Amino acid sequence: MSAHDLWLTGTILAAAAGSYLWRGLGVWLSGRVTADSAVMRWVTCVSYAMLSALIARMLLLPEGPLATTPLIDRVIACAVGLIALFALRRNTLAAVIIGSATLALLATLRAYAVL
Amino acid sequence: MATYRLPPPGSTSPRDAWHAGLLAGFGAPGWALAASFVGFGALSRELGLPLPLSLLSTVAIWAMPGQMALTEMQAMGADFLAILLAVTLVNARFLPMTLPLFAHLRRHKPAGAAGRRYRVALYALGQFVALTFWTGSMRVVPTLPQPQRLPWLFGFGLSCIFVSCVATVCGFAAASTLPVTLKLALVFLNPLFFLLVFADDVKGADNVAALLAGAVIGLAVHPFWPDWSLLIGGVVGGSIAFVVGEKIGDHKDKPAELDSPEP
Repeated sequence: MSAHDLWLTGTILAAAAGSYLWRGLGVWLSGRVTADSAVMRWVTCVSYAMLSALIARMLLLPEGPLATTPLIDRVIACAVGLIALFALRRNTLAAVIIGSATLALLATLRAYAVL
Repeated sequence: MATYRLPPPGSTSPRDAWHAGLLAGFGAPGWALAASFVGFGALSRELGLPLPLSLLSTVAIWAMPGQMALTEMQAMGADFLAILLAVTLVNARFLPMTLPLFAHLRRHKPAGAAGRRYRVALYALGQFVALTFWTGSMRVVPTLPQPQRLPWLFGFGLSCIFVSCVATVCGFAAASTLPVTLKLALVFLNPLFFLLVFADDVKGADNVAALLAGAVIGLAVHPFWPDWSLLIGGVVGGSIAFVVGEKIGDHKDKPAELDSPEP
């Protein structure tokens, strides 16, 4: 193992500890806040809003390879996935595959300059 | 087809719950995880993160946005503190996620040594908290009787991590042979899965409002403070949704917890 790999291992473990900090704090606090209280309802709302912000960012303002696809393609693929979900009696797995395949198809069509 | 595998109806056996939890991780959530971890494995190889360390990050950090940040930053030569801060900040969402999920588990308070073991188990279970695990658990746990909750969660969490590790290895091995369009589809699959899960089934007007407000505010803030957009979208959007929900009084209509708090 090279010195760089050793440094990376330490960095990953430190980042893991930083991530567990929030998880452990959540477990600890969960014993001190009443389950059906207003505080808990607020915290649940904050979680859903945070996850929704994360997912919206991944879909609409992505970094990495998805950033190379046009926004309209990603929006169409999401719409196809949602339509498939309700058309296929809420089969999430089939709908997610259909939605992703739509994006791949659009990207292929663009690569061959059909679109 | 149900998105999450449950124990057979009427069963209260912890063993049934453990098996159902294990199988749940190989269902739809497992496929969504696998797709994104194949993408992560491929990215690791392209950015020079060796396979053992790629796997270590999957097991130890267990959160895709944090792992992506770490992998990209180490390739750019970022220093230790910058990486640590970036990952810790992007994972701050685990605090508000863990709280309401574990509140369901805190209703059970065994006494003495059993109580100590139960608390240790809760802290171990905390490590599983991440987007896929949390979304499934929030949906399933309130419907399970108390003795089935922990076994289901451990089964689900372990199989989720197992599937992700296998997928990381596959992505790493296939990095150079995966066509670009397939990689695109894989990276897209994970967020699309959660869009569909949330569209399919989220209970309560306040939580639906939170999803809408979080997305709108998060996206609006992102161009100005990209590092803080999740926290701002979450706290501001969540608080607005909470106020709306309290005004409507919708939470009173939510189905009651399956078993009442123990004395």
